[in-house]
Amino acid sequence: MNTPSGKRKNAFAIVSALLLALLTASCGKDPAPNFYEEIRSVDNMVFASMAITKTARIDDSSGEWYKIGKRIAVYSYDTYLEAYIDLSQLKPEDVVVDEKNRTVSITLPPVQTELAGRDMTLRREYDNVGKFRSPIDARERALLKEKANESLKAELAENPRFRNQLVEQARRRAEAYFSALCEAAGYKAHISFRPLYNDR
Amino acid sequence: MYRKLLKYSLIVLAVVAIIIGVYLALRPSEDDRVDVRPAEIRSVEELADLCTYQIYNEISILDTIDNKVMFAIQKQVGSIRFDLDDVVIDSAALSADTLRIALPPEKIELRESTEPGSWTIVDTKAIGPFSALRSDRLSVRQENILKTKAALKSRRRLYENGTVAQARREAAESLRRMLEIIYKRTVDVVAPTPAGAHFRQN
Repeated sequence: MNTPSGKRKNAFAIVSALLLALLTASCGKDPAPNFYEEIRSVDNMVFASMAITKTARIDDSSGEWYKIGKRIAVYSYDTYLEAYIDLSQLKPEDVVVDEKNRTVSITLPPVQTELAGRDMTLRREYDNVGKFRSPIDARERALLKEKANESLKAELAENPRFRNQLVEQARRRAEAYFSALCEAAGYKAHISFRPLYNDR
Repeated sequence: MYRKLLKYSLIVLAVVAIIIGVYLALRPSEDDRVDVRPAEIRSVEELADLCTYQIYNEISILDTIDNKVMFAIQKQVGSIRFDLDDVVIDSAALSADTLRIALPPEKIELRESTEPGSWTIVDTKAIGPFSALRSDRLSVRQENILKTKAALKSRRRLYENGTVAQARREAAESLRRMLEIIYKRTVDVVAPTPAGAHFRQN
């Protein structure tokens, strides 16, 4: 088939076969959602929760000659730090009752802190994307959140003020809570905490 | 003539390839474009929450919004807890030999993990009419809606697979133990709505 019409028919057949191959390759079943789940049994009393805001900016207005217009967006989200005591460490001998003076001495387990996750959603604080620029996409926002997350962990490790403030507030709350429990029974409570040797 | 044409074409291609190579080498990386501000404390809330279960999920999210499909992987963390400020213990209750109280409704906290890679976009694509001509980029509003839907599904699964019911039983036991240590008497913790206060059977 070396005639012009023969060559055209050949070309058409090849292109059709390629398109068919591409079409069938792209038609697949959507992957079924799958998940991994882990449940851990604990016995914690959470007495304080701190919401910490991280704000991050994407600025792609680098002044390259072929990029016309600004491309700036600012997002923020909260991460949560919680202070708790492990109730499984509270033993009967930690509660000493003085019937004569109507007082109760309670020695509570130490207050510990841990990160309790971050907001799933992002708050859009500001954006300015020029007409000739593409909008900020989900991958860029994911990268922004990843960088902000690393930055927050570094700050928490270097600066103890976050944990110290949270622990202080949690201790006050725990004292108030257990004092109220004892006062309901007509006793005055003296609350103390065991020292913490290993903090998370 | 064809040889000259081929020669000039190769030269032009080589120049274009060099220009592209220089651009790729010198352009700012994605990392350089992101600037992070220092952390600020937004609020501190005092609580009295009894937490009996901690949850860790790793899920894939395949969902559609406004003719755009998103496929992502998310690591979720959370807990099932009970607000003990809702438990009323007064002198009337304490006058009996056995202290009887009711377990409060459960609260399910579900958030995104702070582990690296807790939110990964695998792919997005536009579907429907003229999809080849439309952008596949999701706005932050669209992404937030899909994440909220995924979180609701995770919550529903905790009710359906009995995790919440088990958490309520363990919370009742934990509360009983703690109050017996404090009050030195028998405590009976009743857990109404065993399947969960917010459980809805379809």
